[in-house]
Parts: sequence; structure tokens; C-alpha cells
Amino acid sequence: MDSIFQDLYEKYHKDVFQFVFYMVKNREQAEDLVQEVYIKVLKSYDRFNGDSSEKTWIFSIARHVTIDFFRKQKRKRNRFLEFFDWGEKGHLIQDDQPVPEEIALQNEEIHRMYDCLERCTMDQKSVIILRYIQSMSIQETAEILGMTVSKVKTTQHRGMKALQTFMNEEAEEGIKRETK
Amino acid sequence: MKQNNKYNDESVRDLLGQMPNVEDRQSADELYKKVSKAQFQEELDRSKRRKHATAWIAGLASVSIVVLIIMVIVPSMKNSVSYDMANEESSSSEEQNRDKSTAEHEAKLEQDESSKESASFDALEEKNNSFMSEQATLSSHVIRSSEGMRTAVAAVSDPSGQYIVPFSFGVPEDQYSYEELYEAMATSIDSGKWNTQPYPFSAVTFDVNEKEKTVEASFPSDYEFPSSSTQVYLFKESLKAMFNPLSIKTITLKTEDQEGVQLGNYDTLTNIQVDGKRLYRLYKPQTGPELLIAKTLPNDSTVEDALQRLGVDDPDVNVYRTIPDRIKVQIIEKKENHLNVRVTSSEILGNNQETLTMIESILLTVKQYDYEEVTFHQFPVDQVGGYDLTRPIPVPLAANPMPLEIEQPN
Repeated sequence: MDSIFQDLYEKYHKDVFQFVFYMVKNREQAEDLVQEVYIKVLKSYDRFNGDSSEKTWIFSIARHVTIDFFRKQKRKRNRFLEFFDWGEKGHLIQDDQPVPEEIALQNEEIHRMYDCLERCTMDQKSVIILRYIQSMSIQETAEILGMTVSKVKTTQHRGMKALQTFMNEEAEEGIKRETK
Repeated sequence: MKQNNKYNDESVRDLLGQMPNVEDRQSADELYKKVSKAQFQEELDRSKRRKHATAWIAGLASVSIVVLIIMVIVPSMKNSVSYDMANEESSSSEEQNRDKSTAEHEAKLEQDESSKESASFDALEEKNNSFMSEQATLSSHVIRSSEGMRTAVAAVSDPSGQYIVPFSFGVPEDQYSYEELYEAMATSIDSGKWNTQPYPFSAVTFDVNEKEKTVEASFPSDYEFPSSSTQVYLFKESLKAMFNPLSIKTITLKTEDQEGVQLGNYDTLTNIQVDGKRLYRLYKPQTGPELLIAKTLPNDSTVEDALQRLGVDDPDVNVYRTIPDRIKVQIIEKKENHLNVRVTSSEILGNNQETLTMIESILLTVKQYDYEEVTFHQFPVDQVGGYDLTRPIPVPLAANPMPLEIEQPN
């Protein structure tokens, strides 16, 4: 096995897979996409110039690969609309994905959170996954997403507000269903 | 009804922290095998594409066209292919000796038959190689001439939807029709690798009338047209950016056989006048090629405004100035279609990529104001890439030449 691959795999694989999985919410798809991440990483490894850390560099490639995946998913030859609304609605393609066992075994609140994450915008979702599921710093998140630190803070704030609203709405719906 | 506010910032954060790890079930070995196999396949595909893109070159009768194709078609993808400016330089700076140069290239192709001509080509190649050692890393971002070529430009939005990235593609005009070119162009755009939105006009047929300077764009009946005012604006700007470099004046719009298209609040839009001005700065995404990227300017903007804005960054969306802070570009004379500018710098200006990109972005931008040539006065170096800065420089045809995947004509 290539020593660069082995080294990167040991250091980052678990986290990169986690990130890709929570972005696309499909285990098989995530497995395919991490392959692509490694292909791109190995191809450009020689050109990695150390401007950012190795970790944020690999995650930024993983992010590009997932974005590219969503674009391909939603690409229909004859739509103009999608051309310019990617930032807001690109994530809405994924639906009815099989829930992996690790999630299925969790309590109802975790299921609800898993669903609500999907209702955030792509940027909000990326920031929340990196910050709160993967415990990255604001600086690291900014480097990975190609955002300024202040943009990360704003997106994080809005994303968390949105998640609270979605979670409360879902809880309200749950109560309504139970009282019927 | 009162909202149940069970969840606040803290509880949401706690829940996110409890989201379980989802594990990759493939082992490191399995993954490595898959990655290796995919790399091998990708390499195979790439070499096939290279064959497609270049196969027809070999079939051309005129060697002078071959030289032109090499100049024009080679992509400006810095990360994957470095544009060897030496080829361009050897061709452009020896215009007076074009016949001789062409003969020498023919000699290369026929070297088995003529050792004398072969020796002549070797001499030229040796000269090129010595130039290449200084120039090998410079990448041009423009098509400089359309002679003998049919050119098409695709306009694709950047991920932020604020800018337009033009890509240009060319084929020998005696070998391919516009229809073939536009069809091949739609499948050659790799928006994933080039960090842009997808090309939105792949289902649209463009009928170019060069003589009348018009284009008829026919949309399929199920095309989903934009409806919001922002999208309508971008739709129109994208089409203008596609045909402005080709000197087209009017785009006529059709849906199937019906005149016009239905956009937002317009009753029916039947045509678009290709007006407006654009400036070209540098798009530098984290991965992928560096590209020139266009921004529409107000109609009443002046060429002075445009040059000033070439010195402004927009880092949030990876768009950067092409005139560095230490460099001042000042217009000293406007004479019909000729612009004279003075370039002063607080530091030494080199024959390097930054300077080449600056020159090309200036040329493309001033072209929007109907200038056809620019003379750079007091430029600290005489030669940058393929440009001889001691002489007036014609404005280029279009930005971001890209490789075209097209089958060799029968």
C-alpha cells in the first residue's frame, strides 16, 4: 500500500468519512465519495504547499467532492433555475435515504436532529457538521469551506437558529400526533 | 398557538455532540485497491480524451492551421496543463517569417523524407527549447486570434452566482459546423473540475449568422426558464457573455417553433441586444484551474472605471485583482480604437504569470470599450509571455480556452 495513502488514512479517514456521510446521508454513497477524495488528494499531494494544514486541505477536497456530487445529482439538461440557486437549495435532492444502523439505534431526538439537519442550507449544514459533530475550530471550518471567519460565525448562528426552529416544530408536530 | 420552545442553542448543541459515528465498512486495503483501480481508469480515460482532442489535428491538410490550433486550443488549466508560451512566441514574434516557419514545421512532419528540412526544424526547436526554459510555467488565459477557426464561448456562473466564467472552444472552420461545435462544447464543460455551476444551455440550439451578426437560440418546450428577477438578469447576462466576444449584436429567442421565451414577469422576450460591458479578473478557487472571470459593469462606466476595478479583490468568492497594488496603470491617450497606457510599478515587474495575467485581463477589459489595440508605455520589460510590449498589442478574441472533446470528422 502506498505510504502516503496509509498515512493519510490513519490520520484522517474516520473524520473525513464522517463528514462526507453526514453531508450526503447515504453510507454507500459516502463510501464511493471518499474514494474520490483520495484520488484527488493523491493526485495533488505533490502540489500541497502547506498554506493551510494538511487536515483542512483534505477536508476542503472532501467538501468539493460532496458539492460536485450534489451538482451531478441535480443536473438536468434543461433547467436554468438550478444554475443560480445552488447555494440555497442544492441539498434538497437527497430524500428518503436509508437510515444507517448507527442512527437507527439512537433515540427519537437524534432521529429528529438527523432529519432537521437536512432542512438547513448547504452552507449551514456544512458549518454545523464541522463545528458541532466534528468539533473543528472556527478557523479550521473557515479554511475548509473557503469562508471568512466572520462568514462562518454568521452561518453558524443562522444555522443553529434554524435548527432550533425546526426541532421545535418537529416536537410540536409530535405532541399534536400524540394527542390525536 | 404557542410554539413549544423545548430546544435552545445549548440543547441543540448537546444533541449534535451526541450524533453517532457512522463507520466506513470497507477496510483500508479494499479502499486502496478501489482508489488504485479508479486512478488507473482515470488515466486511461484521459489518454483517450487526449486522442479525441488531437486526432483530428493530425488529419489536417494545412500545416499552418496545425500551428494555429496548437496556439489556440491548448487549455489554460494551470494545474493540469502548462501552456507552453514558447510555441506561441515562436509563431507570433516571427510573423514576418511565417512562410519560412511553416516550411520548417512541414519539414518536421516530413523529416523522414528530407534530412535537410529536418535539420532546419531542429534549429527552430532548439531555439524554442531555450526560450521554454524561461517560459515553461506561464499560462495564457486567452485566445488571441480566430484565423481559420470557428470559436464558441460558453458562459457559466461561478458557485456564488455573482460572476460569469467564460470558456472558449475552437475548431477548424472548414472541418466543423457551429452546430457540431456547440454540441461538443456542451459535453466538454467539466463544471466539477472547473469549479463552476453547470452549463445551463446544453439543450439549447444556437444558429449563428456571422454575416448578419445574429444568433437564433432555440429552447426546448420543456426548458424551465428563470422566474425571479435576479435569475432573469443572470440568464440574459450569460447569453450576452457567450456572444459578446464573437461580435454578435442580437440574440433572437425561440421556444420550439414559437417566437420568444417566457421569463419571469416579461410577457414574452423575443430578443436580447448584446450590449453592456464586462471586466475580467482572476478566479482562484482552492482546487482546479485559475480562470479569468467576468463581472458586468454599469452601461455608463468608463474604461478608466474598469481599469481601476481590476485592482479590487473579492476574496469571499475567490475572485482576485489582476492589477497588483504596487502597479499603476494610467491611460495617457485614446486614439480611435487604440489605447495608450502607462504602467508604473514601485517594484520590479517580471516576465511572470502575474504580469501576463494582468496584461491579458487589461486587454480583454478594454476590448469591451471597443478598443482594438493597446500600447503599453514605459513597461519595465519588453517581453511578457508571448507579448512583445514594445509594439501595439491587439486585443484577444476570448477568455479561457479549453480543450474540446470532439470526434475527428469523417
